[in-house]
Amino acid sequence: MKPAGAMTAAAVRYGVMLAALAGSAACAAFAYVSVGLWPAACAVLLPTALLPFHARTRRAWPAPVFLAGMISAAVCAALSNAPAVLVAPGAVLALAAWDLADHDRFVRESGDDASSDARGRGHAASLGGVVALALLPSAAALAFSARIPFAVLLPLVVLDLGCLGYAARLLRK
Amino acid sequence: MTRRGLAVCICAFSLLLAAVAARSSTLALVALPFIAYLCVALVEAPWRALDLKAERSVEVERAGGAAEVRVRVTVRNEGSAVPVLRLWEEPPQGVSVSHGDARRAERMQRGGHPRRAEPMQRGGGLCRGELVQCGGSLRRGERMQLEYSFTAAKGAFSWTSVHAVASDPFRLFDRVLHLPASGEAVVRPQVRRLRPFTLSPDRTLQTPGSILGGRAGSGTDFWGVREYYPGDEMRRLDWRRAARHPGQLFTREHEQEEIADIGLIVDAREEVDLHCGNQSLADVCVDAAASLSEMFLRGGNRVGLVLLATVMKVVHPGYGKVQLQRLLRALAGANPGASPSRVSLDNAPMRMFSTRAMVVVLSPLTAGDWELFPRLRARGNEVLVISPDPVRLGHDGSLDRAERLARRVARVERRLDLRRLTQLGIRVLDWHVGEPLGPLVRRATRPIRGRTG
Repeated sequence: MKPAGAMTAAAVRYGVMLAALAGSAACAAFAYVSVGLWPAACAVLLPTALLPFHARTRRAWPAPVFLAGMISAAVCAALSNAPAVLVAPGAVLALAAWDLADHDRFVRESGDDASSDARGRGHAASLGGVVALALLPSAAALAFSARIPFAVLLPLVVLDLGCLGYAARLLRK
Repeated sequence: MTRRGLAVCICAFSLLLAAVAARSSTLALVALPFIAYLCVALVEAPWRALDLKAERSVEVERAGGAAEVRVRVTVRNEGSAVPVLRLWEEPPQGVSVSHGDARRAERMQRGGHPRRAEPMQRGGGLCRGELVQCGGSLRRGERMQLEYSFTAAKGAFSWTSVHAVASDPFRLFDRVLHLPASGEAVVRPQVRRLRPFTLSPDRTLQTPGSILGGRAGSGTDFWGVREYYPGDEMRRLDWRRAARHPGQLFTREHEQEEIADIGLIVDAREEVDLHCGNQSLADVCVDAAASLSEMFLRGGNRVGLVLLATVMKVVHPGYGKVQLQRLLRALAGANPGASPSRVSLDNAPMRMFSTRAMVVVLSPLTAGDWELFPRLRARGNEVLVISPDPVRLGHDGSLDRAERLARRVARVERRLDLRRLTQLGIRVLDWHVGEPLGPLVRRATRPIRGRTG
């Protein structure tokens, strides 16, 4: 029999994950609706509605698939000139949902229920930090608009390409 | 960096690149959470030196034919907190981890007892394939336990370290550690107590024992009468004979009782190891050797051992309970399935046995094993071959004609080979492993008529 504390932590984690998932899908759908792309909004919402059932089966694939889908949806929405105030939180919540689902799976696999409370708190604090770090600059960027000069942009792109190449090399290894 | 970390990295930088290419600030904002995720993981990753101490305790509990080995590795964090720590270990080869006994990790308070005794996890996800693992966060002063158990009929198991992976809370950056945690467990083969019987070897060691040595000495059995020599004990004088022969004195003699010197050669090589169901010929030989050595040592004899397994193991001749433990420990290490053996029966070091030793060879015997025996006989050793019959191992009635014929040919071939040994003056015991060994050995070691002392 599982300890009551561990059950509660798992249930809370699952609830937060579902809320993040729903929030992310809703943000993306509203972003599409705001630019009049109703079919795209439906396309985002319908598969998302099925995801909790997949999550029940405790498979590994629904969370990464959901994240990849939401990133694609956010990119498409951004290219369709959807409002950033909806697209950015959608991406943040998708990342949070994916992380929570993965964390839940890891806790179950490691069989460490006794320390899951403490670890869950630590993980939640770190995830909260990520959400705050991601949302605050977004809010700041929405409030103040600034142009990045080409001289700053070019090294950024070079750095970006270098990091991507390094990551791809590591992944191939 | 883990694959998870790489995936996040690729997402973040691809989105940034797309944002620059499309000159879209919204896309840049979509990339931001991924970059923040990476940054937080980088900050919280355990880059600094970790102070983790590991201890291992191993308990062996014998129940019936097999023993249960319980392994517990306790890792104590004496440094800064580790957000995620995973411990994993490969159980020894060839053993089956009893999932029911693979317990969950228990987290303990500083210097205290487990916070909560967890129930055993039945059919859970702790042991995946060949690995036993547990995980959790570990603050300063806390302990984590990896606990599992496995059953083994015999074997010598040793561990040197436990694998640990320390990560950040999101498991994007891993740090692999090998924490030294040595331990050892020896599951000795099961000893079946055979009914004691008196050995009648051709030669004995000139040390008082329980075997009739075939010459006059200080025993209890009557041997003969001889003329009295000055210095003979008065209580040994034969007064009746002296009365019949006036002026002469006679002394009664008794047969000397000595110990036997026994050399066991146990063949547990992969080449001769034949499996049928749960039975393995090498295991049969090892178990028989354990029982025989216990019986010989109980009789006060001197016993030595040459074990041919993956490597050759030698236990020099000795007496008593300590010697029995040495022999059982060596026999426990016989692991025929580990790798092909580089030793043959012909390489067995014969010099460690005296020429007075009775050499007991426990082997199913293969084609290249016959050269040892003429050498042994030439040295003057008495030889007893106990050969478990591989042809009759696991014999069942459901054989087709070709198989029956093949078995018959193999049996004839084996009988001819064993006859060659008999012609060398070697006692051969063609042992069907289903039969009890004790009475067969007793029958095989009965004194041969016309034996010279």
